[in-house]
Amino acid sequence: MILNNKNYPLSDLHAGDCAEITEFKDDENRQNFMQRLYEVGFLVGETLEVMHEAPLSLDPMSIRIKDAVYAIRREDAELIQVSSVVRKSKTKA
Amino acid sequence: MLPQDQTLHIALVGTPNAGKTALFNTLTASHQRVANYSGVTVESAEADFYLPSGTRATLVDLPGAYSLRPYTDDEGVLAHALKQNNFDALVIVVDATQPERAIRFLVEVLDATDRPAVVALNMADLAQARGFELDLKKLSARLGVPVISTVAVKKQGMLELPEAIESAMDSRRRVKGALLGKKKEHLTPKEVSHEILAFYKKADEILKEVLKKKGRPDTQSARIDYFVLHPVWGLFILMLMLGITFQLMFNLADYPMKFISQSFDSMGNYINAMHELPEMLRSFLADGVIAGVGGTLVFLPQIIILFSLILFLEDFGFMSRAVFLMDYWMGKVGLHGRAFLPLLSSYACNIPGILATRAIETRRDRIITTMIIPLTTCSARVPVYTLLIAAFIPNTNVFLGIKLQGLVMLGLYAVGALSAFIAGAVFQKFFLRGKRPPLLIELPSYKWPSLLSLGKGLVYRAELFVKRVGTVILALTVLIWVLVSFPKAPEGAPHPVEYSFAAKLGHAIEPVMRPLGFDWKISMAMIPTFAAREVMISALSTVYAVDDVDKSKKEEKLSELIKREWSLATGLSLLVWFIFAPQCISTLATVKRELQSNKWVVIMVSYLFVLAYAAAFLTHTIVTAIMGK
Repeated sequence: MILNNKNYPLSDLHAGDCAEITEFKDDENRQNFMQRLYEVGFLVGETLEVMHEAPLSLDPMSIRIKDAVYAIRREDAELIQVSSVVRKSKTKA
Repeated sequence: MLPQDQTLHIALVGTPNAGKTALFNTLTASHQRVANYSGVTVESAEADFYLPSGTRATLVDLPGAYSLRPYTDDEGVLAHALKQNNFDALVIVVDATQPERAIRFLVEVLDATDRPAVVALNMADLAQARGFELDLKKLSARLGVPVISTVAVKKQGMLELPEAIESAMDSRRRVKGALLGKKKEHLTPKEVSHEILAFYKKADEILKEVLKKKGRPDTQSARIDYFVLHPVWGLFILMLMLGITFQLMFNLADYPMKFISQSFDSMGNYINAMHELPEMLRSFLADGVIAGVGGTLVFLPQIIILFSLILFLEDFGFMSRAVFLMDYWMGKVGLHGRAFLPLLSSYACNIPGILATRAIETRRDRIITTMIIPLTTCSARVPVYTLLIAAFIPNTNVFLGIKLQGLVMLGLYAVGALSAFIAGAVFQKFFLRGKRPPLLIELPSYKWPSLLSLGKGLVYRAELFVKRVGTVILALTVLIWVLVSFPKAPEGAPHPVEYSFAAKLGHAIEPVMRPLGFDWKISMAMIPTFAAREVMISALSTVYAVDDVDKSKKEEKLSELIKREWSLATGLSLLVWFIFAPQCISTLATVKRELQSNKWVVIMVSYLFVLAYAAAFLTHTIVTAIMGK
């Protein structure tokens, strides 16, 4: 089910959630990282799926985008805004 | 036909996890060498192969990269090599199961160079199994270079690839930078992201034309990840893997290690029995060269076993999962998740561990990881620990067959690991402030590693070690032998070693070592260990003039002797000293070369020395206070 059409930071999502990238937050200190995100396929309009959260800490999380899976930390996932969140699991946001 | 005597230089480039190294190993049958390039501090492997016309080509395996905008030291090599543009041709390896990313990388790389190039679309079998269909002819036409479908681990496409290289050598490609027009040297971040998007627009156009059918996601890897990254079992499986790895390292290595040490013993005995040689030469060969080299070479099985497991887990795809599982916990002491693999490798030998830090994104994190690596218990420490434990720790039964000696050994490993983490936290807090750089690591599809690749990777690491034995260790052994053999003692002296240079040196540093409970004999034996700690045993044997034809008897005798001669406080103090002291000249040389800095070498030596001195002093003082003199 689609939760609603609001924008969320990717860091609010949990394993099993799918969403679409809507925009990126600006962070002067993490520009290289943002570039790398683009390069591996994190671009506006792409859909992604949260695959796993690390045991106990729930951080980092693994994200499937395109045909690949990447691990990123929640503090960095915050830079990515997503919408149209589809939740498979029953847990609350 | 190209002239026979000309050797072509061909760069092998590719995205990470595309099977580039497997392709390198399959394509080049010959022995691989270490290649160093001007201006590049990272070394790459190179090896030869022949084109169909008989021309010899040297293939240089450059580190994998996601793009030409380097994110790590490793990745910088590709951008640098393309900028220099001094290769005769390029082979570009990309992953056929990720066509989108593959074409993006190809568009960018082919735009950056005007060299002849050939594309190897690797892992074609997996792509086919998952239902991907690509029009290779069209792709080749759009890119302007030959595209060969390959399966490196199954040797598919290995005949076509050299043919394609040969034919590509004659063709001329468009000038570089044609796609985006003239480029400025320095771009603002905004301009860079525009550049990236421009490349991707072009790449996606091509993709639309050539991708006939999109494949299914990799369900098999998802199933394995269900267990490996499981919220409950994930960490447990990781710990189990580590446990098994260390068990195998010690238990499996036992027999080959015995074999090696016995072989060197019989070699020494053989030389000693050759009475036609002058006594001096016999002593030099048997006690100097053979004993010293053999004493270090004996760790080769442990190194081979640990690295075959590490290489297997890495090629299988498990290591990046380990980074995923450990990143949060390593962050507690300021370490990056990527430091996991370098630290694990360091348990065999610190040098490959330090080399592995190249994959860490920022210099700050590379430095922190490198600085704490000497605190991991490398295999050179094990024989010293074994000797001292055997002499000073009673082998009583603690609990259910668990012996005290084994527990103490485990404790030494734990103290090393714990102090590494504490040191990491201290370095981050006081010297290298700042946040950890972001983590972004691919969790690639699981795949069975090719035996050939594992074998070659193993040989490469074994060679690094053997080379060290042949150079540093050999030189030191000779030096020790000279120091303890000259000047000659007068005829009939009871302890000839007391007249030697080594004894004078031992007396000279004794005042410094006295508070730790080390007398001049121990001090003297410790001098050579600053270059390589594993020579401690042969140095002690020489100092105490312990001799026996049988080497295991010799160590037993030595163990008995130090038990009589040293107090418990001295024994434990020396044990603690060996956890911390900076005692490997090769490690220091590697640190200097990798970090390109004298400052950090000095800091490393000083902090380890202070730590070792303080810990040994405390141990000696406390044990003396409890036990009495």
